[in-house]
Amino acid sequence: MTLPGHAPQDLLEAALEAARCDGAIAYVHASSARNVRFASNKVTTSGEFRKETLSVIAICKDGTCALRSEVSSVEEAVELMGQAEHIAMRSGPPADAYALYEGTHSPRFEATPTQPHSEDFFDFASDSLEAIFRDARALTLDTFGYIEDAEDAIYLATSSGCRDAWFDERSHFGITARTDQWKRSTWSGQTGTKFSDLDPIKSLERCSQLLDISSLHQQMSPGQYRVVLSRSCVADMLIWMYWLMALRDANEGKSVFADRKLGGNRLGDAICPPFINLRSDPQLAGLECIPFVVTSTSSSLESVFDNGMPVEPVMWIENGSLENLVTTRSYAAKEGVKVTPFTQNLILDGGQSSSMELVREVEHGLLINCLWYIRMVDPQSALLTGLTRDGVYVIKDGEIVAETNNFRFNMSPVEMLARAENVGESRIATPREFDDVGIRVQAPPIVTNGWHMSSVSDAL
Amino acid sequence: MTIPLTSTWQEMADIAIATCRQLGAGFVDFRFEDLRKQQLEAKEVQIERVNDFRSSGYAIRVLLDGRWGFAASNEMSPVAVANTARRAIAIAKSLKMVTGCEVHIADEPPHVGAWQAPVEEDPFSVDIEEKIDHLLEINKILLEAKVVKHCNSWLDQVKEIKYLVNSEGTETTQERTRIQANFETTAIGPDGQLIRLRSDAVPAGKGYEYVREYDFLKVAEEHPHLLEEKVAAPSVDAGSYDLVVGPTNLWLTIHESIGHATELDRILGYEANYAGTSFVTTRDIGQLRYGSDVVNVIADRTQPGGLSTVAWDDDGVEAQEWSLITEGLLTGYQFNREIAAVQGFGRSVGCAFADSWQHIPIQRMPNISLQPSSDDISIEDLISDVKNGIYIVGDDSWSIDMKRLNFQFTGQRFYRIRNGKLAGMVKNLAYQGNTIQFWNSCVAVGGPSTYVLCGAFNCGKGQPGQVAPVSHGTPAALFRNVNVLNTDEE
Repeated sequence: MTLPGHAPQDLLEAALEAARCDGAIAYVHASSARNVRFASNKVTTSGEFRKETLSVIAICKDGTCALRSEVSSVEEAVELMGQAEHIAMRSGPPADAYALYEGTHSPRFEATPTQPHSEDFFDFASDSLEAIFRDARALTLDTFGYIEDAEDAIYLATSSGCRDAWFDERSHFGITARTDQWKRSTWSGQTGTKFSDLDPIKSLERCSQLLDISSLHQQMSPGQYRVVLSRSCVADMLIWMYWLMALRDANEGKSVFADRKLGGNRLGDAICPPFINLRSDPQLAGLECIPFVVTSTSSSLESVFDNGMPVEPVMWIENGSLENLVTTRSYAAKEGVKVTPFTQNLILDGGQSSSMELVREVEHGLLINCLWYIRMVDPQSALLTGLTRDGVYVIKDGEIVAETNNFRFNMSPVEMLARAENVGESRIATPREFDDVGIRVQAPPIVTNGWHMSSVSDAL
Repeated sequence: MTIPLTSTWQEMADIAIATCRQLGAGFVDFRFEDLRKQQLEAKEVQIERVNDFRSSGYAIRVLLDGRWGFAASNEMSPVAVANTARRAIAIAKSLKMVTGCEVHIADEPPHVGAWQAPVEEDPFSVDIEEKIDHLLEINKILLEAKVVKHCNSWLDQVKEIKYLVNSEGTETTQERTRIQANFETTAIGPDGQLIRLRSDAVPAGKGYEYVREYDFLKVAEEHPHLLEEKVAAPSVDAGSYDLVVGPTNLWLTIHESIGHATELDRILGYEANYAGTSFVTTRDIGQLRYGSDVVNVIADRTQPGGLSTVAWDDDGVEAQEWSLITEGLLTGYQFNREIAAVQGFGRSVGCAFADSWQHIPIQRMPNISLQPSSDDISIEDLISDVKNGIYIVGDDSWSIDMKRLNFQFTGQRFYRIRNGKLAGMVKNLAYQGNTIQFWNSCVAVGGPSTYVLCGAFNCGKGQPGQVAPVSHGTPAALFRNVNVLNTDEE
């Protein structure tokens, strides 16, 4: 994308040059995105935006402050750093105070991102939707959905020598298809790097296959079930679990990874079957994510003092054992453990099977297409509540015999993994609910038991 | 960064509208926004976070031959504005080729004016040290209590400036401020159970006077006793109970089960791929028995201090008040100009909102409030009418299904009611229900003395996702025979 009027490197160097406090961090985030939304086989909204913001973090011995604003000149960048310092000097010593990460100058810092082709996206969207609406009408389906294409460029500089940049592209397509009078509904989604990676018609075909899966309806009651969870379901549950994986929260007794009986945490404990391996790797092909820390916020999961630190591959759960939790440098130093920063991807390794092959292994159970409105009930057990959505199917003797009603579930993602019986092939997943939280996920479909359907939902 | 407002932005608006009209647009609007957010958080005796974000930019929206086009930028120059205008037109043109119905918008007379939400003390003029000292003082008081293992306090402030001009002659400038301040403590029970308790403070469309008026320090002094009580409280027995739901919990149930359910764009399917639809249909006005006859719900964008209160919405429609539910019967919906035209309503009720300059306005919730009884019914009066029940204070977890029917809520504090009296706290409670059954089980609402204007900064909707602030005023209310779960047993 074109960065308007001035080079981001110039803004960053000017901001750092102007800093008079103990340390300073500055990063430019340039983003652009375009989208089209549709409902009932008609385009509803569409649009695009471009923006560039400068974030500065002033580090004084008496405090820190992060300011973010759009700036259009070097003078404004200098002014912003001055304002941050003024606030930092009066804000009080931060909880995560630590030396800034001493980094190096990456060649990426001088690179420029590629220009997005906005016109091509809208042509692609227009052609794709025309085809989808035509095919949907022929199948007497109503379709609803969203297609998006976006780029981000981040340039980071710190007073401790870090100079780095990262360019990211992502695309998304999701479609809900409903039968006549909205009696039945299903969903399919895709995640890619560029919009040309997407194949919207394939998603409509997938919806059509799911709707054809059984013409029968069978009402099922609340209870505990053996379930086959789609990759989308697994991805949504894993993202929630990941947000709980801070070592500090565990040590303070605040999460499911705390040892309630003995105090401290559950690192080293076997928490799920040995075939469960959960990791992050910013370099994983197809799931690449930013390979260094960039943040303007401190919490149990991140620290402004870690800006610029490289993010290395990490095993969170290895052979079923909890090996690592997220730490910041300051907390890791306090606890005498290694640093394992939050990474913007998650990989749950898998086996060979597809969802339908896993279905064949289940005598009695349910196949679940999506989960929705997933919210925390109790962080100490990671108990989540939510709904199934857009496809729940009854499995009997390894076959789908009927479609069934939706449910409200109350279930912990840690229990989901602890009770896992088998995992299918791990591929890039499109979470239904949390696709826009900036965490890329690769996950398999999973067979797990004891999935608690708390009550029936009549919603479609 | 200084904002050259009105004179410069009027020039930019003129460029945008002229460019789009020359290229064939029927309707054009230009919206400039400046949004400032300051977030402070203290954890125990130290500062966790001091963030101050500002974002300024503009959006150009066009209707060209019945298709929307939208483009937004923060590049501030006449050339950039003209280019962005051309992009909006190009996007509308490229999607014109997709078969579908034309978009129309309901008429609205032009409005010219400026409005600033009443604020006594601009929070951004208050010295940062004072705010930080306030948070640390709260935490210091809390930590003096042995039961408090950890605590967080926070203060979020937002100032939003919008300048809207459209091709119909509307030109409006609006400024509004909102604030939320709160704290939460954590204790560890004897069996290692984590017990959390948040104070009852609610977000408000106010300035820093809110922090001064609330007396957080006094609340912090009293808070540990409540936490101790919650630690010692027995786990609830699951079953059917009468519930007296306090306003600091009921607002969220109203939001989820009435607010979202009566959004007309959702009813028509516009959110079917994301937030869902509704059990309410377009034929339900005057027909659907939503609740008992004590249930009266008003929608408005006019209530003083409301988080959704404005003078004009982001379609340029004047703020209004209207009824959603009257004596239990559905009597209204929420909609914007486009949805008004789809349904043949003469005028929008003013529900358009964009959460930033980079997003297109979509239909969003106004303030939605359950009306109190005209009688001075107290919470004690409601409790006295319960033989076997629970009184719920404060909100926590929430979830509702795609049609706004099956819901589950928890809370902050739960008190057993036996024979008309409070009988100690219980914990590990969630209540589950069906929207229509729940509101029809409402047998009494409290009087004006129980009414609190609650709300949230972050109601989510739309793709791309947007967040909107919204308030819900509500009295306490009594509901019969509601299903209560023990979350430990789930």
